[in-house]
Amino acid sequence: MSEFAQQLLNGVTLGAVYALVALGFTMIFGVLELIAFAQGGVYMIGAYVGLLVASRLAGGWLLLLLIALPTAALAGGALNVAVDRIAYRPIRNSGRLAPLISGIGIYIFLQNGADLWLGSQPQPYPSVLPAGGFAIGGVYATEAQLVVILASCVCVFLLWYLVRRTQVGLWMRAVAERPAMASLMGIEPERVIIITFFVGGALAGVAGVLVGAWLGVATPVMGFLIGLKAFAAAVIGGIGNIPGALIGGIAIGLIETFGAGYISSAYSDAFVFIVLILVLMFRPHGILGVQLPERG
Amino acid sequence: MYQTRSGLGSLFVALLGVVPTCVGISTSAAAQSSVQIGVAVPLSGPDAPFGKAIANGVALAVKMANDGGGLPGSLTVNVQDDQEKPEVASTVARKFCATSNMIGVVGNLASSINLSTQVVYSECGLAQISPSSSNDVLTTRGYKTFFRTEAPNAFQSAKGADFVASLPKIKNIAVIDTNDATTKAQAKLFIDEIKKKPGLAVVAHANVTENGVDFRGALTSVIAAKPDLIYVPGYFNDAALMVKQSRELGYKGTFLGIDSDVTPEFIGVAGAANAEGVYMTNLGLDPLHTAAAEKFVAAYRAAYNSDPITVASNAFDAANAIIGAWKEGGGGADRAKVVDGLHKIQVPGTSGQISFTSTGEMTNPTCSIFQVQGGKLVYLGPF
Repeated sequence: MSEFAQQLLNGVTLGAVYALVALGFTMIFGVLELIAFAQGGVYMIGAYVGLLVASRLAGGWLLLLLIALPTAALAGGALNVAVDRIAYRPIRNSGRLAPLISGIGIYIFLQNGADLWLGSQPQPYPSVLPAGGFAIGGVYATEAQLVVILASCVCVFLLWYLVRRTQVGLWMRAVAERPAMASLMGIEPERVIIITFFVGGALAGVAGVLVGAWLGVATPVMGFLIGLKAFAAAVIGGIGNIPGALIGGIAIGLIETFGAGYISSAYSDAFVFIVLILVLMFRPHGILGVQLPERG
Repeated sequence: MYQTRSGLGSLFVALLGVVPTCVGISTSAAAQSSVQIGVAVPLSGPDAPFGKAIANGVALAVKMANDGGGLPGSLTVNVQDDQEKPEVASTVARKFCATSNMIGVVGNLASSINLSTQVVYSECGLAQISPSSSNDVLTTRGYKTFFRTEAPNAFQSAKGADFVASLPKIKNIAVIDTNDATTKAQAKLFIDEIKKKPGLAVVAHANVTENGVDFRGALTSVIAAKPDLIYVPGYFNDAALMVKQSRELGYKGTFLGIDSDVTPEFIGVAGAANAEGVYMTNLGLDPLHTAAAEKFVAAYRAAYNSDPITVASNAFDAANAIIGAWKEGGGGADRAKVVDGLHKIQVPGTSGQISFTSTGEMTNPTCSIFQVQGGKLVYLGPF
């Protein structure tokens, strides 16, 4: 029984991690219907920015975290705006395939750039999360784990609030629904897109710091698999839907840990993508997603 | 920038290689014959420190042989940068093959590079001794010219199992590999050996995805099987994360890692408190703590003002084996005689007597144990 409870906690934590990364995907898709593959690369750069900042400072974990998070968020946001300017904006109206491939190109560029500049060796993460841990009835939890779960829920709420309850969110939804009509109503679609990419990049930066610190290392390849799984999480939850990213993330996290724990650890990644295929076959708009109206 | 730098580096190395050659030719007018020993190792890129140590070890062996006298000619060293790239290493190998007074080569550093140079050296009949490559495949390909002064991975797995059997109070063993060819093979060999030991049992075996992901799903079920020791034959990054995450999941037992974990970064990633007590097997011996290597260590320190690492002593042994085989053959530049001589050689080395089996493997390979104590890697000695 305690093994089951432990696996449940493992799965929820991992799911919260995927949800953090999935938020960026889901938000950009919501506005542009674009699968922003470079998100994984921005996430990795965010992790390194946090690492470089925190390792040059001295202080308690909370102070380091409060410095590393905004720095990584700013860097991730700025990088994502640059990625949009270079890779997506010039081909804005050329269908879906071109920006997808362009994004993959940017991802490869970022990963190899980090490899050359920072080295391919994994680097230990400075302690920006609390080090303590405790056990309840044979289930072991760490404070770092709880911070990650909490941060994920907070990010989901803040993003939901931004999109549903603010003026900027209204613009975003307007551009997402009818870009031409929004433009006629005095909304500048390109400005909204820049804001969307900035927020998506900032989320990826925050995720990079939290996940890097929780796992304990940063590597140039860290964004690849997590990017794929976060994308799967976004699709399973209903891409474009913000609470859906959290639900999809936790679903993926649970599938992966229970698959590894009870079936076979060699195939835990395969289970994730099998479920993705099943969802796409039987409920293509995801758990919380609604059928999107076809754009003219 | 990157290109220019490595380009200059190899040019510099090429010049270095030419200088001793010229010296060799000018003195050969006086002595009866001059021959060369080649060194093909990375002198640029992340593994350059290892390449440099190998070049130092060979140069020291050649210097001591020349100074000692009684040689049927004089020896020079020709060092080339293989840039740890298969195509560059093959070009260097062809260059060595085309050098008529080249009698043997020490190199290359990485197993993957040796895979592409073995065939070149074999075609021109030039003896090649790798001081550092441990992939099991290398000595199974039938190349008569290939030797190594490094023990193979399979030996490390077997020794690891022997070491586990020697530990008190260890009965239940778990194994976690990272699902790639090398660690899977090592895990399998280790498990086969453990099964032969009375009183030991493998209670869990997991395969996980490599590269810094979350291993807690697999670890939770491994820990639930209550192992006393977990064998983690992966890259240090993965092994260290497994150690860290297992401790966070309440695991109190110990771990056994492998040679790729013998780096301070392992402790950095795992955290000093989590890594405390972790054992690691390492191929070869630490020359600084080996009686047979005392003279070598003193000479190395005097020549380079630094402590030799294991690959330096392996390279020193490799060069001495080539020199010994060449002497036995009566000198000259007959490559076939050197290769034959290496198959029969018996010379004292830094880890004991050096001799080779018919496949080019060391007859007496060595393995040692490290342990993390007080946040540092401590050498526990040969095993």
